[in-house]
Amino acid sequence: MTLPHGFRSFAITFACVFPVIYVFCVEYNLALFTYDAAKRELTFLLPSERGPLPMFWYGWIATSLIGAFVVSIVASFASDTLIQRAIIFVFFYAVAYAILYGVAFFIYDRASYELEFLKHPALPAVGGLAAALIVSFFAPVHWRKQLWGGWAVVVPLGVILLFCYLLRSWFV
Amino acid sequence: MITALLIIHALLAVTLLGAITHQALSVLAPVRARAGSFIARFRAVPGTSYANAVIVIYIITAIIGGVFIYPAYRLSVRVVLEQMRRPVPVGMFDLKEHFVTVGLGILPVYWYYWRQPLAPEDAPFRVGVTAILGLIVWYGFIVGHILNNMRGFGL
Repeated sequence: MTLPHGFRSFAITFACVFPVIYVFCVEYNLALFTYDAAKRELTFLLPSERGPLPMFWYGWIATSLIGAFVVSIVASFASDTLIQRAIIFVFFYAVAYAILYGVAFFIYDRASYELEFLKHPALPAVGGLAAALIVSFFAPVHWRKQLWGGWAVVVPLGVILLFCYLLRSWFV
Repeated sequence: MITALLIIHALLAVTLLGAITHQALSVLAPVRARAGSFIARFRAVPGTSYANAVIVIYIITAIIGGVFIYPAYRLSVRVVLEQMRRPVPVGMFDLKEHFVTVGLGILPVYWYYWRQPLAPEDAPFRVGVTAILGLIVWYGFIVGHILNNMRGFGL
């Protein structure tokens, strides 16, 4: 069976984008629709009055599917280089943001005098942006190509670990 | 009705567990010489023949579990667990629903990496994606089993 030229890009991008959008949907409750298990009612987006047993999971999946499908279709028409750079950019932005955010709060907590600027959200955002731009533009071509297929493993695994962290309150 | 669906869901899960474990072991610990022992024969299967079956069973199991059983769990089980102040099984099930969803997202790339003829340059990614799917299926199976037998486990 001959696959369309962009199917590889579509599949890898979908595997990366779907879990990331899903995390955002869960965290910010971006459900396309809500199902109330007690009333057996389906509401578009979020209900104005919260029912007894609202289930957002179906809505989160629907939002993530649509979002990931659109992004992946666009990616399947774009050049591999552009998609590889975009994924590297987003990944390193997220990692650098998290590291800088943690380091800034660590220094702020330990400093003997007030370093108020360390609490500003712009600091990790700008730092992360700079790091991501540098890595995505200067990453060697062979390095990008070797990593390309691996993002479909790294990103879903990262999201699985992130969920373990986000839901830790159930276990401790 | 819900009991029948739960049994069908469990049987499909067992089938999926067998298929994905066979496939995952065949790529994680492939047999180099002639397979003699039971474990070696378990690992010696051709992984490609399982890919389509894994995808179809994964989707059917997720639909039966998510669409038909999950509302009943939300209505009759989770509420009771919360009232009994049993956060661990609730958290375990929440993780299961998120893991299974992540698994749905990697099915297209899983199919792509396992399509014939196998691309040698995709071998490490094929191993990785299969291992993640195996992890999700095992986790889902164990959590489903525990929740179904909660009282026996005493959680």
